[in-house]
Amino acid sequence: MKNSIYILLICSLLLTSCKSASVIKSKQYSSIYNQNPLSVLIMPPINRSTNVEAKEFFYTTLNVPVINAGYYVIPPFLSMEILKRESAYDAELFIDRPSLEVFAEIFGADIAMFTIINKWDKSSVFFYSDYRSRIYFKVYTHQ
Amino acid sequence: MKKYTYLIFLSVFLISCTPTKGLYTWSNYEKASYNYLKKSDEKSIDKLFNEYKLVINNQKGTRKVTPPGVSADYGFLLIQKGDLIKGKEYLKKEILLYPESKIFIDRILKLVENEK
Repeated sequence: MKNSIYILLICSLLLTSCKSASVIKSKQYSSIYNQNPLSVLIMPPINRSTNVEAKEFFYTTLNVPVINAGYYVIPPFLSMEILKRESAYDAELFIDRPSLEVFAEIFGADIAMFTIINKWDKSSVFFYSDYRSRIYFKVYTHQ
Repeated sequence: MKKYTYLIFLSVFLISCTPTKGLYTWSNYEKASYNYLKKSDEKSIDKLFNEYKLVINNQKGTRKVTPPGVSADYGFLLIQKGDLIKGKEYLKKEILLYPESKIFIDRILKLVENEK
């Protein structure tokens, strides 16, 4: 019994030392930290998966984590409405265009965040179902 | 020997006790906003309405302020429902809380005026 406690202790020590903190975000993405952006426009996701509903579903999950990280996110339903009116709801039209003056001018955004859903599968095992997705993020900063 | 196992359990339990308090609390906003986007029927609109009210009035996060975008989207929903005066009030509240939004919200206010 005593042995097993030692093993547990060693295991827990090993696990706590697993953290790899050698890469700091501010170093890795230094240019974004230097520009110190405040407001983020989340573009409607580009859906390249076979699931039709993935676009809307994924869009509604994006604003809360970015807001909780301390950024100002342009109101999602309002910005969606405006993008639809300006027939800019398809983010494909903008993702490869490096000029982002439009976003700064209309939305006052420092960052435009694009996402591409490449894969969106549902797998079920008995009563448990699980979504697996492969998402590609691209962030542009104004300036 | 059992004592030790209890100790281990207790320590694991205590470690998981640290409260993780975020900047804002969201109630069931995410679920309601998804249902609204998917169905936009009366029931889902009402649900989202209630969630907005909860997030605005019952903020338990560390900032104790309505999170970004919520006042504006709530105002937008009010305007769509026909409550123009109250809706505009909430749009202006967004600018007051988050001056970063001024460029965009001013544009919306102008749009609302023109469509009246």
